[in-house]
Amino acid sequence: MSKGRILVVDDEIYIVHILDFSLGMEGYEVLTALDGEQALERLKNDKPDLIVLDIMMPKVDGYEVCRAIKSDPETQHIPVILLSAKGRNVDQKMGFDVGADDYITKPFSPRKLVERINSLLGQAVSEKTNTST
Amino acid sequence: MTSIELSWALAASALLLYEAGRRRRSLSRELKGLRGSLESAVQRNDQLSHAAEEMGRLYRDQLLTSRQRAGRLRKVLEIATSINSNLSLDKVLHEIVHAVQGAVGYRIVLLRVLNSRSGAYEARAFAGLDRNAITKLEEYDVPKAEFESWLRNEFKIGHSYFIPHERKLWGDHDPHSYTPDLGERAEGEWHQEDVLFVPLAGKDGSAIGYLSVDDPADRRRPAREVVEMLEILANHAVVALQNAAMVERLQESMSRLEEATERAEELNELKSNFVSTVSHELRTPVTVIQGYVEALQQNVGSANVGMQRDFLRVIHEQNEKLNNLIVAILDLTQFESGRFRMSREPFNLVDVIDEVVGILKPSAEPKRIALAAVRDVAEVVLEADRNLVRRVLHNLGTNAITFTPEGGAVTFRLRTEGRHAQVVVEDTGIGIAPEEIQRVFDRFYQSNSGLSREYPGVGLGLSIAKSIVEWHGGEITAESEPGHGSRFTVTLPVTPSDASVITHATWSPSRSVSDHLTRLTIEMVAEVMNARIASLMLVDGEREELFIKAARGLREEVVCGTRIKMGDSIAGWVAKHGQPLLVTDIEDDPRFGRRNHHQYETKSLLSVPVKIGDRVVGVININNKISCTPFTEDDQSLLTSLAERVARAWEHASAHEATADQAEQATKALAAIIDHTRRSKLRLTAGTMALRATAVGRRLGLDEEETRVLAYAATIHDVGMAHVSPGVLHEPGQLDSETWEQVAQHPARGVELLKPIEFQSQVSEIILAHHERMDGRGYPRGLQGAEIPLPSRVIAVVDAYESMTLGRPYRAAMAHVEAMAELFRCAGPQFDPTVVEAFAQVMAETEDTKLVRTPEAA
Repeated sequence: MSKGRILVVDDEIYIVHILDFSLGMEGYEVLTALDGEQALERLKNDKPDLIVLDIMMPKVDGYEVCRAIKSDPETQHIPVILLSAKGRNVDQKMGFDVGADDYITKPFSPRKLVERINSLLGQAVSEKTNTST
Repeated sequence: MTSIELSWALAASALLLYEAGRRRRSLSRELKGLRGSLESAVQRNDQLSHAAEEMGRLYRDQLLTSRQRAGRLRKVLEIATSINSNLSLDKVLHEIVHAVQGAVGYRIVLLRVLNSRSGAYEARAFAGLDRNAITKLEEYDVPKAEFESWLRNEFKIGHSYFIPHERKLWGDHDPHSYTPDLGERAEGEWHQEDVLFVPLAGKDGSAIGYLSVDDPADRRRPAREVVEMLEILANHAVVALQNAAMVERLQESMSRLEEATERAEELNELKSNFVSTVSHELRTPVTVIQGYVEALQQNVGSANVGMQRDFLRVIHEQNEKLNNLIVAILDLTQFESGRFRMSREPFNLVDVIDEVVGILKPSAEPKRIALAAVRDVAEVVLEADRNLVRRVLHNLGTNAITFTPEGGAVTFRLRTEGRHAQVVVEDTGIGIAPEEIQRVFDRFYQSNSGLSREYPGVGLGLSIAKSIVEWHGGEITAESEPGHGSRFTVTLPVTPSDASVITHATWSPSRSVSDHLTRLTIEMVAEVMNARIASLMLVDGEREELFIKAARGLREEVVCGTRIKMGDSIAGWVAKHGQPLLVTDIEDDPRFGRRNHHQYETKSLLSVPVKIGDRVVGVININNKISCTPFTEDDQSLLTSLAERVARAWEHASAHEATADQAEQATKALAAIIDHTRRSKLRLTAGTMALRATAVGRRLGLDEEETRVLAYAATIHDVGMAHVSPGVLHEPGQLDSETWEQVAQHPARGVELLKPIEFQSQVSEIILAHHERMDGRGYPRGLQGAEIPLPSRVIAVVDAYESMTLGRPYRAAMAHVEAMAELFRCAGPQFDPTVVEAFAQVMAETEDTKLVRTPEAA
């Protein structure tokens, strides 16, 4: 069975492809979106277990998507990893301000991303387990 | 963001960084100036306290001698104190004139202040005058020279001037007089037409204003003590005026400084935005590459070859993208270090538009957009940076296509208006909202907004386009009707804004040498020599001076205001010695200081005399080669040849028996040279013909004089072609007999045209024979072998190479190698083999890219 469902959002199609490939190899089910609007659309229909979200995107940027996710009681528990090419401290702060759970600076190794996802999902799963018992 | 977009961004940033650097430098200059002003303000304060001390001393002295005088002086002192504590100038001046009235005892007081812009003294403060008199005074400003003419030593009392009415300096009645009738006066009493001036001495001793007083209460003519008191008050007026000027200057500097700081901060902000944008653009492909490489590594040995091949393709693509970015950044570094130069050259704007339309076709076709170029002229020659202009048009076209939905239209329209060319890029796209249109040219405005990412290619390009257009002295505007389309209009000057010829209408070398002829002279020189600045100076024999008669590229005030003593400066030296002078780097040349050259931006200049017989009648100066390279010995000999023809043309036009027709012929000859040069420049960097020909000539052992003749002849050899209709040469196939007739006659036509200015028969001979062939089958005379002058044989080879490598509209250009092979093939029957051999050696040796034409450049 799938280890979980991950929504990957980036306007660079090759980044989406390679994350789809790498996470798929790792046993995750991958949903994709190429901009913020598509991402919010997908969120309504499919409930992912984690979101990998690029910041600089057309229409609705990553910060806004993240803010929307974190302010909706339906989705606020979903961990969000922000992807940014900016890498300045102020951007990182902004990322956490909008409620992101983790922040990865481009360029990054997909393997590293997988590790972070594994750890975040492990946490989320265990938290869920805790509350239910 | 596409990589085109990014390179635009890089260029934009480079401009910004360059500008930021310049701002920083001007900021520090500004600060230095400000510091200077503050220092002098401190000094001024010292002066003030010094004046107060002096007054105190005077006060003490005077107190002992006269109670009355002491009373007056106290008032003076009181007023002086209030003056200095008050910086409102008009109020200060008002108090001073009233102090003069109250404390010194003149009922009528006028204070005038020099307006440095107009150079005249304006009435600024009054006491004891009615409204009518004041209005009259305010209406008339006293010119500085007029005032100074009154200040004669015989009138001097202290530092002031008393002009008794008996001297009748203004005749029987002073038209400027403002004094009311004072009634009958006894001999020796103050008379209403007496005048007392107290100059307000500025730093350099000249009067920055003056006090004029009348109607003393005691009816006496001024005594020395009274004048001294007036002078004290005058000194206070001086201090007040200087303080006011200082405050004004300080305020100006402060606001300039604030502005500059603001601008610098803004630039800094833009710069850091830019850095983050570039960083994003670089990180994205690196991320992709890293991801794919990792995936490949993890799948080594996988049987899925298709996938691996796909991954490798992506890696390759992204690597390419990254590489382009890095190249662009390296360009940027060069830009930033200030090594970037705009390189102007003459080119046909029509060609550039066609080129851009050609490049854009592939992106318009998939969207079925009708892409068209509409123009009412076949040729619009601009002197501008061709690459930059092309980038602007390409950017506008890309935007138009991006924003135009399928099946729309994008049109380039070219029109000319006076000395301007206008390119309008119109589309039938989505348009731009009114609130956006003001900001489309803002730098980086759209780089982070949704719009630019939704439609890559918009945003940065327009701001850089604006910079480029403005850099060229042009203008770019945008109009749009949302939902119906946008229209961007680029207006560029056909020649740089200061390039028109200005003539100074004072004097001519002879009455019959018209302004028209001198104008043509300077135009011809500028065109042939490819110089941005050219000036013709004439000798004013009476004053032993040179003045500018006509110039291109100089401001009008320079043209009208420049006078140089014979022997002074460069032109003066040339006029005095009758020798040409080439300065490759004026700063390194010990003969000349930097003075008088502020109007010239380059360091290289060339100056030659114009001689009629042995007499130097003028000097031709050129500066600023359009190519930005220094002038050379070759340029010097070519310009010398031209100057000789100019003298000849003047002589011809002004000979005793000269008819209007003959004068006309001289102007025609110059006009033909101008026309020919312009036409050939469209095909080739000007001067290249002459450069190649002289190089070959030297190799064949021609001496200096022969080489000089060859260079000149090579420059103008096709002048007779002006009469062959241009269309003929642009069509393929055989010429009909009538056209052939025209072509065959062009050497003779050229000789005929140039006759009024040609004094060297060799030149005519060379031109006449440049289409002869070794085997006698050439035209017009069918000369054979050595009958053909050697210079003509040289020109024939250089010309043939030129036309082969350049191509014709109906025939593709040949590569250098092919053209050389063709020359060797025809050596013998058509060309002189030794000339072809020498030409081949010249071309092989030279590293000058101007001499070797690559097929791409053609």
